[in-house]
Amino acid sequence: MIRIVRVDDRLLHGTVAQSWVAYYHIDTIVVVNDAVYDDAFSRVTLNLAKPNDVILNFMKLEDFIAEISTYTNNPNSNSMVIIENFRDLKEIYTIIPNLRSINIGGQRLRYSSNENLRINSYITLSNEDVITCKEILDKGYLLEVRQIPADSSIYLEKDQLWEK
Amino acid sequence: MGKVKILLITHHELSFAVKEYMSEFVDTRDVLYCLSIKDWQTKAQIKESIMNVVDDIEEWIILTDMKSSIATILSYEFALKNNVTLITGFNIPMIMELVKQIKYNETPIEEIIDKAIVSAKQGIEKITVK
Repeated sequence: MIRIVRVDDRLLHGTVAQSWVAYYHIDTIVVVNDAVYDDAFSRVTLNLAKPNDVILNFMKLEDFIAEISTYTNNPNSNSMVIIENFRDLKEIYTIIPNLRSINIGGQRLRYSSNENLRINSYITLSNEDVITCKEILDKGYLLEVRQIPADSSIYLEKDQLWEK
Repeated sequence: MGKVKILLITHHELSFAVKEYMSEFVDTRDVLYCLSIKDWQTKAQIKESIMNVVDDIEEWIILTDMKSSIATILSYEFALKNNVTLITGFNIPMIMELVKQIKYNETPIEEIIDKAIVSAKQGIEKITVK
């Protein structure tokens, strides 16, 4: 089953590999990202962060959608899905069974702008992200801001989200 | 190639704390450089900050704390350059050996690295007291 869906612009790295994997007893990490799937060098570098005894898969968005049952139908497997941004999240969150909460681990924007909404030091949302987050909240999902399990959960509320 | 220099990259201020600590034992000036990765930095910004330090003239040894850290992941492409070596899992004895070899000996870089890794491993030991 899929235990956690995480949005993180850094994708897989030490924080994820060392903390969330242990917390949820993750045995499979799935990085869903078209650009990484198509780039052998990126896959090699992200493999550096793979914990021992954990399977790391890279998938294109459309392949993940088509083959999601691979990760949802096995009750004895604990998977973690990592995506880079809200644009990709929008495509997949409704098809993941039993998903109630989405973890936001990082969303850094290259260029700051007055049009961006800063949530904290590691999460800044574009207008497009804000619209997606509102849609997600409207559908009854929770958006949890939490870098590591030891952090307290902070949930995004609709009244925090406004387009600029 | 030019002189050998070390770049220590960690999250938060660990790299600077290590340098300050090291300075009590050895002269780290012109040898040991530090970068700290901030929560707010994008991957592109982190790469830029590494690029601003690691030139094509000197021999660089990049040290990171953990293999899985974002520092290691983003330093990997710099290690493709002939003048850059990436080592992960640093500890104090390793850095001490590196600085001493660079500062006080004319040791070839491969030998420097071998000695530093030996020192790092020798620095880990269970002390039996009973």
